[in-house]
Amino acid sequence: MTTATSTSIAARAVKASKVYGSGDTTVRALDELSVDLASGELTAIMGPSGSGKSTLMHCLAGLDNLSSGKVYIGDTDISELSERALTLLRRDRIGFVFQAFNLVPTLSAEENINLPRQLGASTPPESWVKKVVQAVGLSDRLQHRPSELSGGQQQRVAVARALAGQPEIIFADEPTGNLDSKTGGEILQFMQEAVRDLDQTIVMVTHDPSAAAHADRVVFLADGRIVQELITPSADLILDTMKRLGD
Amino acid sequence: MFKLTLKSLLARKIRLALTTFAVVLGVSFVSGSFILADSLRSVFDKIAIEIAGPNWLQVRGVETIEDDSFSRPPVTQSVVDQIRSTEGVYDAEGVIQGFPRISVGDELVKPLGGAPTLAFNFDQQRAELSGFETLEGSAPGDSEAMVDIDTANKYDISVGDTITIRSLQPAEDFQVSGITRWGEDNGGGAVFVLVNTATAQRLFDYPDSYLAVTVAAMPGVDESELADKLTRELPDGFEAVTSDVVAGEFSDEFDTFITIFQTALLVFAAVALVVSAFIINNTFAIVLGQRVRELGLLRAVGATGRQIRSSVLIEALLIGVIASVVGVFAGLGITWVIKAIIEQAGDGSGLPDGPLVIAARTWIAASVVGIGITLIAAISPARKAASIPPIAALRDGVALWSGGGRRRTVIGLLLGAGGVVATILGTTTDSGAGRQLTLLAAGALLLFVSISLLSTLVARPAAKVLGWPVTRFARASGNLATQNASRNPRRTASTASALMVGLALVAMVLVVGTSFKKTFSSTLDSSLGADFFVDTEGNSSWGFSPQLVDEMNQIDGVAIAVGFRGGPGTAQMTVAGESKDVIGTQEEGLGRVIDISLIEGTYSGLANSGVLVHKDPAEDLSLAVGETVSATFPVSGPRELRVVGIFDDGSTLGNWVIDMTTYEDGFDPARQSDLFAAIELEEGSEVDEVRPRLDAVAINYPEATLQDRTEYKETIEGEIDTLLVTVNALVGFAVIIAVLGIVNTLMLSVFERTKEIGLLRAVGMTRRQTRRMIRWEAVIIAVFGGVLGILVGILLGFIAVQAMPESFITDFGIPLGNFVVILIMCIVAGVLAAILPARRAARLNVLDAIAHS
Ligand SMILES: Nc1ncnc2c1ncn2[C@@H]1O[C@H](COP(=O)(O)OP(=O)(O)OP(=O)(O)O)[C@@H](O)[C@H]1O
Ligand SMILES: [Mg+2]
Repeated sequence: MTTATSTSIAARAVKASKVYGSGDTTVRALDELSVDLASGELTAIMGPSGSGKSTLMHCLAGLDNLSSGKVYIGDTDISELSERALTLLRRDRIGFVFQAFNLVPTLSAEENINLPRQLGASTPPESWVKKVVQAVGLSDRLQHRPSELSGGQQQRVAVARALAGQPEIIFADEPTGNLDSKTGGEILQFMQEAVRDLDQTIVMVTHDPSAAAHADRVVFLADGRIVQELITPSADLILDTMKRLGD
Repeated sequence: MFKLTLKSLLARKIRLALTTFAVVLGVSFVSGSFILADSLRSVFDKIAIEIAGPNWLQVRGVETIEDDSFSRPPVTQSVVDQIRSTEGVYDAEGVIQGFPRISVGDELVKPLGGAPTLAFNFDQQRAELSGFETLEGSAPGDSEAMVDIDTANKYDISVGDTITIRSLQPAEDFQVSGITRWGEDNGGGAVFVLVNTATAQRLFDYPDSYLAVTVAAMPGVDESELADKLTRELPDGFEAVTSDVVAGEFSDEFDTFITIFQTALLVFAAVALVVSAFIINNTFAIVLGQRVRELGLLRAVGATGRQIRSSVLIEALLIGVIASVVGVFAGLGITWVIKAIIEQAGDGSGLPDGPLVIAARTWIAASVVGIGITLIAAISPARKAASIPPIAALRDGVALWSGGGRRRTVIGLLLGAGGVVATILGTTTDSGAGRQLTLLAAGALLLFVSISLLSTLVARPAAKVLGWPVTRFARASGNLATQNASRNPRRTASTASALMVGLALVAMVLVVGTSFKKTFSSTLDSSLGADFFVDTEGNSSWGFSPQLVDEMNQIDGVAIAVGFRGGPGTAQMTVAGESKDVIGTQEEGLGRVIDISLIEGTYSGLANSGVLVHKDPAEDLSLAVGETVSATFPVSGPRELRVVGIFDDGSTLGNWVIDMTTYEDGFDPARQSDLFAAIELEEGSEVDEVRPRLDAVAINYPEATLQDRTEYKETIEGEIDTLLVTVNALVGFAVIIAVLGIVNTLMLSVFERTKEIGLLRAVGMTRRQTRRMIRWEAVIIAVFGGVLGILVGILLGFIAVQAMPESFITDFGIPLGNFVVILIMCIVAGVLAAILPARRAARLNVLDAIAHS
């Protein structure tokens, strides 16, 4: 990759391969994939189902190990890390938003947001957490349990949790996949603002061209490889590219 | 449907194993009790068969008091001579049996497990009539004795050594002339010592007479006909019976003993089973709760509620069957544990050895109990499962146990009220020991179930309170543990309740024990004025020689030494058709060494056919001072006793006290040893100064232990403690099962929360934090169970203390120190219970866990 050296790299995969199974049933979910993800950008990852998007996210976020290749968060080579160090890295330097079930059901929204800090992460300033909570518009819902929140509200809590820790990078795997387009749009809006206003780095998987249109950069995967990249594309261009790659 | 049940069982192997294990533990205790009792029985049956052996007859005096085998008058030499000359009799030999204490050097020879030390007469002539075989050496002459082979081996005695025999006479030394064996293997654990007839008559006070006569018939003579003939021809008051009858009587005697022993064990087994039932019920409830969707789907595709219910019950049945079979074999292991516990309590003298017997009834009892308890425990979960609507397949979070909160409370309160009523009826009414015990057991059971239902109400706040300190020093994990423990109050309450049952009983036993100690301590202060006490070593019911008291009385500085004989389990007289425990002593010491708080009358006159009566029986029989009461004694028969005093404090001497002379006339030689003695020093004599002189005498009586007040108190308290430890060790099985229940619940909870744990791990919870979270949850549940158990235990203990006779317990005490220990042990138990579930939780693969459905 030839990204300008002036922007620093938040996360990087080098010749990352992930192979599932063995013999006849071998699946190459990632095939010597290399990518640099720049700080302060919203990157969208797209591709057909089964192309390896989730696998890439999991490996970048230290939730899964590569079969070969390397992953760096900042300058840290995470393939070298022990289980414990990896857990602490996730806690302190990474945020994650899943498609669903992001919250611990016994904890209130506020407690869920504070979970990484409760687990021992260094405390970001109280004012920052307040700001995040305000930004996601949850101030009046903080004491509610997840079961008392709508799907959209739950996802917002999840995003707030990811942001509250001021991680170096946030990975979001189809964060709006379960939501209607209006609610999803709000979440995306919010993530975009976080990148623009708060200088957050976010990598997001999505199937929705209009969602991807919010991104600074869109990376297309197919069969575990990067097949196309677009910089600040329009939704139409994304749609076209998807169609082309789909053929 | 059956196939489906089987499939779903196999798909949940761990849960299946854990549930089965809980049943296995309960069943194994039941089968262990049966195995142990049957094995003991087989030992004694073998002895009985040997007694019956080659046919012989026994001639003996007819009991003067029914069912008191000690009330047979001795057989005189003239009767023996008459038997020998009776036609059809081949030979006859008089038998003398004594209960001596044997020592080697100054070591007392102790029989196994409550068996007696028995002395018999044995002569070379007619040796074949005795049942003893000479293995080494020869029959004893004067000042010679034989000992049995097991005792010889255990105490390293060989021919030519000296042993000391203590009887009612002064201790005498005997040279070992030979080693003997009774029957084929000396069974039963008793110590046997043989002396010649003249010596036996002298030592055990049978002047020219015998306890009974062993008779051998001429070949070809029918034994029962000969028995009839002898009974007819002998003087009145004698009877002849065949060896089968003797063997039968022996078996009956031991059967009674073994049955009591077995019943006691079964009570503990029942406790273990109740706890198992709690756990099975809880496990089924949790597992079915986790399968709501699956069951809903079954309903949606057409399974009827009935089919669902039977599938759950079949599952229970299978578990019950497997657990019963495994439980019987595990019972073999349990017998070993029980034996060890009893051996520990018995100061090294355990139960006699013998092969372990699994009788058919053990299988039957185990199956009935194992299958029955599992099915009963599964009924309510099965009914709930049957009522799952098909819509549950489509919706998340249809709770199996939703609603019914109020019903639960109402049922809980009703059961609790029933339990209290039953308990109170059991303690206050006088409807016979059996029924009272049943009422008490039922009351306790109802209370347990009630509290387990009601504790659901307090589980959430209790978890919060107990979790508070945890949250203090383990922030995230503590907080999550607290949340987890309180998120499903029913589950927490049920799991804790299982522990509550076991611990409530432990706590109750401790409360009763502490109250007993307190009572003893105040009795010692208020009514035992003596400076020294003499107790029988090893608590044998065969006491020490009366010589001891005589010698003590000679010692410089001793004001008075008083001996006591008889008492519960040893000596009974018959008053108004009922047998009463009676103690023999002398009037001189009463009011001084022992104060029984006279209300009316005096102690003097006791020696003159007097009797002292406790106020309760005095009232029942409307006896007043100066009146006479007729009492029947085994040996001296009916006798008029004059009431010289009525007393208030029955805690030391019981209800009836007679003079030693009356006692000596009334009872046979076997009961003429002292069981207890109290010694008071002269005014001005120092305890430390007299002690060496007392010791110098006591050392010659290894069967007796001399103790000053402090030592005596410590000994009694030590004995109470040993008893408490033994009982609690047996209740401990139930506690272990309950801890297993915590493991079970946590395993299931971890399984249920797989996704959530994955999420926590994803956002940065370390493995250690994960383990800690599970561990603290376990600790919270365990401590909750402990607190409930202690509270219920105090209640039960209070009721028990109220119910006990005043002669036994008057004070009420709460062992705070023990309770602290119990709570600490709960914490430890929680930590241990969490090991497996916590490891499982920590090892979950983060991604798999999140993907888990
Ligand atoms: N645990 C696993 N074991 C075996 N194969 C797997 C596993 N996880 C993923 N795969 C395979 O790896 C490939 C990539 O999967 P991945 O989940 O990354 O796809 P995706 O791009 O996220 O698809 P989608 O858009 O449907 O979420 C697929 O072919 C999938 O079948
Ligand atoms: Mg995916």
